[in-house]
Amino acid sequence: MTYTTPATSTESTDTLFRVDHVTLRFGGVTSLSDVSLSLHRGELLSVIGPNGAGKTSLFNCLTGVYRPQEGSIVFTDKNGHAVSVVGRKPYRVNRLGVARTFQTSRMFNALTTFENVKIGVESKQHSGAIGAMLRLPRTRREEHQSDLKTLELLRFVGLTHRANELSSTLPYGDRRRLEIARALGTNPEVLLLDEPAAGTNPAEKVELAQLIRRVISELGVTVLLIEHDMKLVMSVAERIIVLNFGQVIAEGSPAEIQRDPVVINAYLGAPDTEDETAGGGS
Amino acid sequence: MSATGPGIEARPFEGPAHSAPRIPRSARLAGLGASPAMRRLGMCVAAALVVAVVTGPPGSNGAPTSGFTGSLKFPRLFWFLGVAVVVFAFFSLWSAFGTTASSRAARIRAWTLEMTSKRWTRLALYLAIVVIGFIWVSWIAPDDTWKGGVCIQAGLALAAMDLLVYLSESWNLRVARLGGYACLALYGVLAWMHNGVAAYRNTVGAVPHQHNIGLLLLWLALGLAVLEGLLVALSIVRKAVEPRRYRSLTGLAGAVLVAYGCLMWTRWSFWRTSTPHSVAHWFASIHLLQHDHSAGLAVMGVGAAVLVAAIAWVASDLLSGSQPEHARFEFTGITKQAKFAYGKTAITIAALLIAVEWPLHMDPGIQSILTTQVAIYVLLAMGLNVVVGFAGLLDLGYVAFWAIGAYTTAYFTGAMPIQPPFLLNPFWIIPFAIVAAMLTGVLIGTPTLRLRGDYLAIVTLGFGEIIEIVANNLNGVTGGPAGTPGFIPQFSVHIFSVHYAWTGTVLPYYYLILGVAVIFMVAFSFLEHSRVGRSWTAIREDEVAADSMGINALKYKVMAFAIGASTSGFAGVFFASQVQSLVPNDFIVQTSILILVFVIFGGMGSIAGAVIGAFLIQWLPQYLQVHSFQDYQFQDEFIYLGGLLILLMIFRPQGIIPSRRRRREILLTEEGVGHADAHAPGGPVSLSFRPQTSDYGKLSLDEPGYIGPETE
Repeated sequence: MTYTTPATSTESTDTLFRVDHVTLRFGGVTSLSDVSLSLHRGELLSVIGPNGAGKTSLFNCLTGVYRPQEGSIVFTDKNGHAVSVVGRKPYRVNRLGVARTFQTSRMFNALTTFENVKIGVESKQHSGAIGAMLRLPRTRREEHQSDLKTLELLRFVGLTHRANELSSTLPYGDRRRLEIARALGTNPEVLLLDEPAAGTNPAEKVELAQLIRRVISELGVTVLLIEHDMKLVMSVAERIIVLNFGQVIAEGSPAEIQRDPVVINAYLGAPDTEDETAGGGS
Repeated sequence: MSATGPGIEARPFEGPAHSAPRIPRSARLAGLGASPAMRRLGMCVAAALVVAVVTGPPGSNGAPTSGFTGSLKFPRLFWFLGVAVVVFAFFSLWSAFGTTASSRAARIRAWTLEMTSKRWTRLALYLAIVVIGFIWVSWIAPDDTWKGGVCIQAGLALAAMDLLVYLSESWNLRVARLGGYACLALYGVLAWMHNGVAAYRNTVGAVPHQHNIGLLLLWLALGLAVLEGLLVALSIVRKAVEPRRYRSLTGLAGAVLVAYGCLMWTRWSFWRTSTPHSVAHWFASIHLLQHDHSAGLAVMGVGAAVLVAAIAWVASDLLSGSQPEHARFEFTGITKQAKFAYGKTAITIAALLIAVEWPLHMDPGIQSILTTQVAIYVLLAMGLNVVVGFAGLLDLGYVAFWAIGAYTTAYFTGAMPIQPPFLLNPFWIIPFAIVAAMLTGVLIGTPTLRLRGDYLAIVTLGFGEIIEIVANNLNGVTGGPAGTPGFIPQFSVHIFSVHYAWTGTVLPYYYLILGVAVIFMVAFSFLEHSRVGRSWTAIREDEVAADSMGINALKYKVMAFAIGASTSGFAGVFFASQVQSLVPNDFIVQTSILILVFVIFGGMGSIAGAVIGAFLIQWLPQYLQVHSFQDYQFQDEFIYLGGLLILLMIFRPQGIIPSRRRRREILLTEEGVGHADAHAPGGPVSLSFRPQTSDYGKLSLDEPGYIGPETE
């Protein structure tokens, strides 16, 4: 353990995620070893690190896809209740207010853009099959509410003009924004973005950075961002955590991280990472 | 008409596929010294001649050429050549649409879209349908008036539909509805009257003479018009007061009850003699409503109580000044404002007309086949479509739930060796059968649906076998292989003074199942485009992503399984009370596979596909047998079915009428994700929005190119 978490317990209600000494192993391979971090309400925390450092594994632990062998992950929901995420199914973690996007975009390709977002919006509604078959008033009301919310979200990410196109026909940058809209549809407290800029062009990256900032400022959603594009990370992140070989090796503001010799040695200065010049050159 | 989405209509025509590859083909054919069209025509004519000769009368020993000359006699040859020209025209049209299957499909779709988007082309089409009907009735088959009659009726109905859509678009929905009632009333009068228009009716055969049905339609139309008038009055009141839909509906129900009670209470003899063709007279003549003094008073009392309660309800709301929840959602959901889909509605109207009219003109044998062998299976296929098509679960023991529904019916009507605690009318057994089948479905599904798809198939297959074997061997309970000892009574209704029994001919059953099937079709299509249906699609597409969107995959899978099971149980009640005695042999696993074939054949996930699949595969073998095609053996059905399925999988893996979502999935997997757009341009366009700025206020849908979600 080269790095220990600083005393983060400033105010317990301000902490959304508290990850304590989490270790995740796959057979003999340790993916995360004794990772501790906390995510505060309203901030933009970025997790960076070389490929295979365990960033996506961390996301999967936070969203309930993986179950860590050791340690605890506690989420504080809207009502201030601390709920353990470990052992919870992903859909139940989502209900707590945790939404995510995926590293490789996983959309529902047979559905339109509108329907993709609507699925996120209506996942927390209550009307069931009987209501749907009989078109009961509650179903119609909820349907209408989700239509309006969907439209609002599409407008937020700027995809209204593609509302009725198949999601699979969208260009890559639009798909990324669609995934963010779909995740935001579940009305989350925190949005976990797994490499949202992967495969986008520079202009789209600028738009994406603006979008992420608007998610925090306009919707008040906390963002946890995994990204390789250092320019994007440094421009939007308030705090950065660096992972290497499943361990947290550094934590601090973007300026601090850029100067940190451990990080430069492990990640920013490493020759085989794709975007090191973007971050290092600034 | 399609103001939204500029450039979308034009897209299919831009496809590069249909222009370039034609050159080498024509160059190749030029070597034979004939244009492709001439060559095609020549082949068609030659084929017609060959077929004419081959199918002609046999020659005799004395004059061996008489068969040959007989086969080429004028009227006969005329028919064959006519068919050849039609085939030639069809192929020419076909090849004009493009050279590859996908570009052709896209162009045909775009062409139909363009044709149906203009009102005059549609009217020409309707006119053509009517003219064909007239020609059919007048010259081709004067004895067989019903086919031409349906044709004429369909043309007129489609024209009426178009008129009503026009009215609703340019005037408002209420005017259109009143127009619809007028059409209904007109049809009712035509069917009801003895003379006057009878001459027209008899020569054309467009409207069969059905005294009771005509009168029923007439009064239905008048009743609906009166209801509409009441609604107008209510809406005027509503503008002064707050909208209170349920209160007013309750009040309306009370008023109807009072009127009904009043009719029951009054003296029938008076009604019959004084006012022939009144509602009461008609009710009395078909014994739907019988004179019952005290019952009439009781119904009136209940109605009056409901009416008073509704008035009190409204009054209390008015006094307290509370605003009901739904008042804030005055305008309907976005999905409702999709543009009217002409083609789909036209086909539905025509299909419904045929489904209603056709059995009336068939002999009892065919009617019985349509009821027991087709209608029930249509219902079953629709239920399995929810499981297999919507949710993507493979259920191989579907018939087990059918058996559960049927044996529940047998049990509660006392037809089984073990006796129930109380006997029930088949109608009241429906909820029991649904609950029994659904519970079994949930019990079987919940543990197995946690596992991957293959396990569900194995478990359901085993379950299907278990149910059949239990039914066969549990002699003391089910009656064993010999069948249930007692007779299951047929459906009958005894509510207050209404008495009706589904006895005698098989036709009443047919119409009962048809009505139920139509209700299920509507309900399932609502389901497909609801939150539940979309969740099923999401789970089918990517379960991990659906899970992280907060969708409980297990819950939705069990839901699909339970809905399928309960539909099957529901169909079981109809089956049991129609056949009246159950044999375990009806519920073999083979039947499960057969129903699965209906769904796959028709197109997984498509309700219309399931219906068409069940109809074609069930009806065709029966038809072949009834019309005694000598070489056709009924036992060989499964050989033909297997061959048919193989052909289908090669040439049209998505099924006959694929659902839009399934078609997309297949296109996406076959042709790579990026190309799908070029092949599915019809989807968004046909359902584009009319701009609706006013209704949405600040949330205007005015943005360029915004098109709403599909509604199919």
